[in-house]
Amino acid sequence: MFFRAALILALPLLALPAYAERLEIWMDADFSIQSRSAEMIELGVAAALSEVDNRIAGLPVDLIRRDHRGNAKRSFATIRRFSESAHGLSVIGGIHSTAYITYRDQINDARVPLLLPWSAGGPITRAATDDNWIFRLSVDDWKAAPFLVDQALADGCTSIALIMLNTGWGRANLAGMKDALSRHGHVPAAEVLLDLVASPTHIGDVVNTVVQSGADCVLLTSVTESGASLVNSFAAQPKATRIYSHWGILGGGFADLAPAAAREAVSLRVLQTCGLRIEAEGSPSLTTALKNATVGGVVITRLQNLTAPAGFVHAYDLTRVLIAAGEQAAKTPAWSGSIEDRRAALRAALQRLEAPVEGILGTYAPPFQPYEMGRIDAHEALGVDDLCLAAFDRTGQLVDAPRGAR
Amino acid sequence: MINRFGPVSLPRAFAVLVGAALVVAVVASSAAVWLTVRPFLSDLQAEAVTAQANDRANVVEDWLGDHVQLLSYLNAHPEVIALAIGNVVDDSTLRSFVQRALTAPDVQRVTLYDALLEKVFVEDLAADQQPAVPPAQSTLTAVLEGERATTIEVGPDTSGGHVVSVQIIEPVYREGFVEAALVADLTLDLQALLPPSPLIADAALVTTPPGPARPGEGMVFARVGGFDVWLALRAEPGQVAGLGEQLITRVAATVGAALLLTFGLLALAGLWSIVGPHVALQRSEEALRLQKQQLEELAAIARNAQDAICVIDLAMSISWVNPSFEKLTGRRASDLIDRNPGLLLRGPETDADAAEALDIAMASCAPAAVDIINYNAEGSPYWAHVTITPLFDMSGRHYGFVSVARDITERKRQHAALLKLNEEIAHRANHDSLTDLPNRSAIDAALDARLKEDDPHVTLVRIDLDHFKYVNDTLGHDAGDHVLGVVADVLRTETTPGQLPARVGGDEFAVLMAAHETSREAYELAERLLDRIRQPVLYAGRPVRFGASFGVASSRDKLLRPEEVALGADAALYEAKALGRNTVQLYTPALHTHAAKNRDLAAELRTAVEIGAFVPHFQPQFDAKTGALVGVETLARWPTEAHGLLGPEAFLRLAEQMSLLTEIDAILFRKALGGIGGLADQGIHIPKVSFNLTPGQILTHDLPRSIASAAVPGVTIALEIADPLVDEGTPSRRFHVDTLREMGVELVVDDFGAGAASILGLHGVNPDAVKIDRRLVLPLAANAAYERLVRATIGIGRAIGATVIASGVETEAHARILAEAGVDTLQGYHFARPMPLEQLAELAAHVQVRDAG
Repeated sequence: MFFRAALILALPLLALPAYAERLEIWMDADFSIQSRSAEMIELGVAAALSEVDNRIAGLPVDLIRRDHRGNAKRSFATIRRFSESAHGLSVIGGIHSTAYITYRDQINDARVPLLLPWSAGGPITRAATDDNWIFRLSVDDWKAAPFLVDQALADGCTSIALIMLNTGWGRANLAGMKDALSRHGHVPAAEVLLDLVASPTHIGDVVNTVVQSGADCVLLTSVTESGASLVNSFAAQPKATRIYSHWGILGGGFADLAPAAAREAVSLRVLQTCGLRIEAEGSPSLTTALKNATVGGVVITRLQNLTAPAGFVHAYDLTRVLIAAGEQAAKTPAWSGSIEDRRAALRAALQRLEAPVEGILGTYAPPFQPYEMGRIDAHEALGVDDLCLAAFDRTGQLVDAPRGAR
Repeated sequence: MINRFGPVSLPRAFAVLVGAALVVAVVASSAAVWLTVRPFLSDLQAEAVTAQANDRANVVEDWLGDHVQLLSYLNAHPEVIALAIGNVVDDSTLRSFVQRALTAPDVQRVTLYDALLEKVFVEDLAADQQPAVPPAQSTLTAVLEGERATTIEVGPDTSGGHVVSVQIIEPVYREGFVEAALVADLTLDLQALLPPSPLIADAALVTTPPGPARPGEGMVFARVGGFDVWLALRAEPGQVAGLGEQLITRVAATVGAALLLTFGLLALAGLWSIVGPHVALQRSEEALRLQKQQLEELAAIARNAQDAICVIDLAMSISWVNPSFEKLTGRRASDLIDRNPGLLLRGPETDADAAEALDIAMASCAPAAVDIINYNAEGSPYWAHVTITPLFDMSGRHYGFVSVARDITERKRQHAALLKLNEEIAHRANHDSLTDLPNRSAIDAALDARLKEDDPHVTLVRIDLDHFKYVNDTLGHDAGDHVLGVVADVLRTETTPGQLPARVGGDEFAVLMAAHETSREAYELAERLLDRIRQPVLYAGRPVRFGASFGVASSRDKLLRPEEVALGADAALYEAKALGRNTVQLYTPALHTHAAKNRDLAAELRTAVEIGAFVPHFQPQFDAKTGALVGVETLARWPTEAHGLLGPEAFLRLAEQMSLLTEIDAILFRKALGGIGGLADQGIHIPKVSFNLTPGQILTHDLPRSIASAAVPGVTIALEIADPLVDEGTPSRRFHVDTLREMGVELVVDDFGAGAASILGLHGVNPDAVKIDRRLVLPLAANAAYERLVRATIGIGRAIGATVIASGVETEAHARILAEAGVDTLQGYHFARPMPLEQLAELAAHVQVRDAG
């Protein structure tokens, strides 16, 4: 990792004079605590950039790490600093949604192109005015909630409890899940907010509440550690409860914290985009992408060897979209203006990409559309058809879980 | 005549000489000390001030340490980090936690700064707020960047001298990273905190590291523990200078004291060897004369004393006694002298401990005083208060004892009688006189005591004898008392020492289980008790059978708080009775839910009885042949705001449990007969009014009185009783039935054909009418078999000479079949529903009314 990052940073410096024009892509992610999720994204971005020799419109691109350590305040501070930076073209976000939900309007006011390969919070891409600078190629909670509810009901769940993280992201999901349930004429058997850092006592209380409600299935949004504690605790209950989890538990190391027996006891299913299925069916785009992906000097051959394949897949596809939009923007007069003009040109190009972009998950033609209030999916590159469920195999690797496989 | 230069002037001359030598020595020594010590004075002054400064710095360190610890405790609260990193915006949880956790009066304010140095949480805790002074941005940044850990800032002195504001700034960690800073504003009253000292003029807290101590300027600095805070003290210049004078004075005083001691010893030695013998010779003659006189006086007192006195030598033999001693022991002096008092006076009832106490005291030459039983010459015991005192001669040699004894037999007797009386009174207050079981106040006291324990738990069995009233009524109160005694014995023998059985009322008992026991053990105990209580008891050669109902409740089942367990046990007991008696019922979750509902309903019911809220509704009865109105059945209705108009099925069972049936019946009697009487005044005549009673109600003594007080001339009263009454046609029931019948009351057997009455029993009661159960009537038109059954039932009614009434007549077909089968009176929805009085009046005005009599 160190060598690759050093290479990316050092190459342009060697090749060009110090005053030469260059571009920066900032990564606003948690490189400290849920570092594996950030590294998966960084891997996808780097793989896509290396295909174009780390250049956009002929300018060298530096990938800048900005570690927010899971702190929404630090995340927003990064956005503010970026808006004043001299070379920053775009920010790529990490796994967390909370900062972007909380500061969405300020981000749009600051005119910062923010590309999201992972954070799923529904309201983020739905700006309160027509001025929308946030683009997502990832799961969207507004689609994920109905999808998870549909899957659970299709699998025969009769009484569904909701356990949602007590953060802006989790609370938004709670409303979405309840809404999706009510469309099927269901009400939650129990609704519980889960502490971000959950003590064993708190986990015990949550599990008790759900067990006493008589629920046979749980829809879960959680981070890795609390999610693993919950899975272990539910697995120890006499009555089986099936768990359908949002992908927040995939920040890294989940399989080490929740052993195979526990995962099987709760028939754990995890929300994914369909990258694993595409790999299973064979995909030339994926083979190309993986060629440029190395972790610690080891070349990755299979998507499922990654701890969080979706992070890699989305970051790769989204970066390819970014590169295409950059190339298109460079042909406009605005590109020769200030860095603010370039960001505006990039946003315009993202909204009206002329050439189709090939990605792992498919061909984006176009990925995004001009946003107006009411066109809620204009900045969403993926739809409900791109959602799949995954399960862990016994070795702890994520594998595609075919629909209706129960 | 004494010489001027004789024994008196010798000591005086000696004293003057020694005193003069002492003064010279002290003055010389003091001068030497002053000259020697003076050069070291300034160092000593500095050390004294520094020592005091360090002591005070420790006090401040303790104070700061307490608050830092308090802040760390707050820091660990998950809401702190959740707020700081923006995962939650609602700060009410943290606010209430802070308000509860930080109650120290010197905490002014708690503020949380996030990573962007913005305030995300402020809680002002003090009533009189100092204006908020935020910490320096550089300090906050240093803490947030992890460059500084716990940081203390000291604000300006705002109160003219001794109250300073102190800020503690604590980093807030998440997963090992600093994400926020928690700031506590404190006020520190240095004057109140630090012990006063005359050396210290002034104290202040500073955060700047000091230079070296400068006692010349009067400033001393002491670091406060591990914090970057120093306590600056300004010494009182006059007092510090005074330190030197004090030192010299003290050294001089010490040397003076040492010299005084030396000279004093010298003077004593002189007095002892020279002056003393001279004076002693003079005094001894006078002392001898006085001693002789005192001895004679003492001997006279001893001889005439009321107390019995004897002198005992070291061989434990009596050497002298006074006349009172002879009188008390019944022995003459000649029989007592040279005898061992212990062997002579002690006997079989003498308390061994008291005797040993005397013996030990005498063996160890110590005084002693005991109460002991002694025996006189005739062998009669008596109580004596004996005091032994060792005797010493002039040279201090121990040569014997004097014993003084006083007769306290009477006092002991009175004391014993009083103790016994007190025990009896205490026992009676807490025990039932009939069964000698603990009574209600005893179990109440035990419950009160239990509730005061840490983590109290109460498990209670409530016992109510079934049909005990029946035993009393039929066999008399002696039999009842006998039964209660038997039950008390069962309770006594089946309970273990930790359990408390009690009789809490006439036929009510209870057992308070030991604190560690659960409802399971109580349930098992209740079952054992029930098994034994069900065994027949022989009374006057006859077996008497009775049973009991048991309610068990425990706070360990987590349904009830300990103080509610008694109510829960009552509710379980009611349930046991409702389930048919002779059972044990546990206070279960289902019962808990039911009890909660019933509690509300019971309260309303009690109020309804108090205000007489029940109203009668009337269902008319018609002659099967002529169609004339022959009477009405009265049905209770309870108008409520919450549930509308309630019928009996909604409240009768509860009313029965609450023993309110009699009151409700009385209300109904009064209102129904009052209403019917009112109709009669308007010229509308209702020939007969019938009321429903439970079999138990027919036995209440109030019933005849209720009927008599409400009766209306010309209106027959009929009582409808479901037939189990008939099955228990005991002499006592017969008596009640006969009393009622003599009052002109008619008896109707209700639910006829659907109950459990035997035909013989029915015949024995000889009812005026039988009312065929609606369940026989309803299927009539559809099922021919029922028609045959009804005809046979009518036949039985006829055979015992009763009028036959059919209820539940809902259709024209019912009415026709029943009339053809020979039923006399018809009642049912086909004719009329139960209705209020006004409707009845209207109905009666439009139909033919016939006197059924």
